[in-house]
Amino acid sequence: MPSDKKPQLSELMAPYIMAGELIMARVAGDSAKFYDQVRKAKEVLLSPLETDIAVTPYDVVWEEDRVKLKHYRPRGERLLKTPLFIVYAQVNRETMLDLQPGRSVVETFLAAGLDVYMLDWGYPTRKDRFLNLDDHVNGYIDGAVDFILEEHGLDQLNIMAICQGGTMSVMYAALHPEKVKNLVLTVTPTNFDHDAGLLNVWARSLDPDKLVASYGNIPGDIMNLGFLLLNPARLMIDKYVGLMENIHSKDFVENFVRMERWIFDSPDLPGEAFRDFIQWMFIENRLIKNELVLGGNKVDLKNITMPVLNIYGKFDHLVPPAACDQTTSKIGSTDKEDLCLDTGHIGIYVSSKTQRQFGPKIIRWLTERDESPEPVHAETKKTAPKKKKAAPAADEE
Amino acid sequence: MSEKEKTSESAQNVVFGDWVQSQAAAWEEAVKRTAQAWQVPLGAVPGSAGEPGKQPTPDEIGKGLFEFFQALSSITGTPKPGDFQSAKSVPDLMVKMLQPFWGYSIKLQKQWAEMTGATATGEPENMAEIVKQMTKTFYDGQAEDFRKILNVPQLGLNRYYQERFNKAIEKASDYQSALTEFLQLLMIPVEKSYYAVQEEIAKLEKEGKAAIKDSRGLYQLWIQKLEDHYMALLRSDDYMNTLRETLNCLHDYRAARAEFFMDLLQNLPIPTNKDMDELYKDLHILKKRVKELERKVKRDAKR
Repeated sequence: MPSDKKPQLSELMAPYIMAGELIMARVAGDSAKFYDQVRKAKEVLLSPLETDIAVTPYDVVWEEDRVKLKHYRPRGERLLKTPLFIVYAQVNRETMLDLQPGRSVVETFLAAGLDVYMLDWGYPTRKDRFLNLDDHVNGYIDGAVDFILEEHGLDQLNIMAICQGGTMSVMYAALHPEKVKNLVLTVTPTNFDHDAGLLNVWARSLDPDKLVASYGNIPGDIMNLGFLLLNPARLMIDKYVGLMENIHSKDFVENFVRMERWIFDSPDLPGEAFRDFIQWMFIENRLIKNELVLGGNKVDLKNITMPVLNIYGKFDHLVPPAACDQTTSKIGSTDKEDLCLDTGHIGIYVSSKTQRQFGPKIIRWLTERDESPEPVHAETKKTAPKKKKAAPAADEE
Repeated sequence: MSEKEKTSESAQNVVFGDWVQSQAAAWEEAVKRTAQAWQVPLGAVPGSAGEPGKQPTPDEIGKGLFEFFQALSSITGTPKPGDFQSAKSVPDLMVKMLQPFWGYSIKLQKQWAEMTGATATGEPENMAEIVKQMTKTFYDGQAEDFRKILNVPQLGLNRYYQERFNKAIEKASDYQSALTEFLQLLMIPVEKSYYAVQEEIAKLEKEGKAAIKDSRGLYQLWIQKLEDHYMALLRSDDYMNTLRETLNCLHDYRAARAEFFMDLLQNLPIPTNKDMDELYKDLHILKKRVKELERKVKRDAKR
């Protein structure tokens, strides 16, 4: 503090008062503008808002415990013969890939004639706390893959994976390479030995044993709090100031609310799987060093010999390039490609700019590698939904 | 109402009346002492040696505690007429019982008065520092006084239950302390950004450049400084250590709380988390075995 004079309470509170005043001034501006803002905000907030997410129609075609497999209803002719199986992370929900019409990766794929399946990890309860990494990779992912292969009478399918789902898919592809035709990794960390992101620094200092002993499953809210603390100034202040500034715009408010709904829809993480992931990945970095053993089998990255497309974001603060850019040099594939986009962790899937790059690139890449697969069985079974559609059929209206 | 009931009620009234009177006297004494203690740091009533408002020393607190437990043991043992010679003995007991608590309460009040500039002795740095010092004072006070009570050896049939309850209280206190320190740490960038903005404006003025005129520009400058200071803090060892300590305290508190609740639940027809976890683990192992067998049967059928 610059002065020798003893400060009074008002002086001590000055930083907080200034922060409040700056936020208010930014939001309110001059009084005429403020009243106009309030009037418009009232109009927007009291009008019916469309904030539903994940509206693309699908059927639940397979389920085991809490895990479900969604099959999106094809739009017209299937142009690719190999189905695409999407594996999302267990942190947050797969609904991010289908945030809203016009900003939906799933929609883009369907429009291009891809047959899309997506794994929904569901919401773990205390019953699931003993499920470990092996159960997820060799259990649920393998179970869903077997189901799809059997339904289509095929030997192999395409996998596209996201973030932690990508890490698990790398393990899966190394353990079951015969079932994977092409592998598309997006913002997938495989190298955890770097200090490029705060997440890595923090995760390495965690004691996963204590957290699991305390909580059983790791609460999604705790994870979310951790993510917010990665950048409190932007994620806890500036973001909401931005909302207040644009509250007169219905489109802006709807998009904002959709994103908030997705961000804070965070399932808990099964305790043992969390422990395995923190200990083996973040602390010991076993995967990239070929030291990981799952279900009694070594996860050897050299076993990954199928074509691999590895996409990541240059400005990703959660999974920085340093976490992703070693993958292709460690795998056994000869057909492999790295693509670093000028975007962040979520922007890669939802920003208008990357929507024009990301989806079309994957479609092109898969199409080029979609030579006719030979059916395994004489008859190809038709997908028989176990449940009726879980999402509203917007295209049926 | 029968004569017997009337007599009984009248006796109850007398006993209850005495009790109420004794409680009121105890609280009157406590309030008086606290009020006197308040006035000392604020400088309204200059203190003199030996007056009742003097802050109790650790020795006095210890003596008070000793006397309290002496009195307590005499109550729990064979009661003697002398133990309850008059209602006045109970207020004394209450005062002694409360003494450790207002021991640190007074310290806290004094510290607050000093730090907010009400006295001429405080050395406040900033709000974050005040919160840190207050937390430290409060929990150090607990460590000295409150913890002593919680750690008094428990005896008899209920000892384990009482110990687990005390442990839960102690761990809750530790967790609160760690959490407050963690939150205090998060306040620092807000304060640093304030001074950084001031410095930036002064620098611009010195360079003869136009000062930031609109609130938008000022906000952008502040939020950028705030982000920078958070980034520096979040990577610091201080932050990492505090985070780790907070999480460890959280774990200890949750574990102690779970043990305490388990004692409660065991007396109710409700399964505890431990019971359920054992069941879930068995289910998990069984399911894995069934799946493995299913795979084996499938493989064999294909051959």
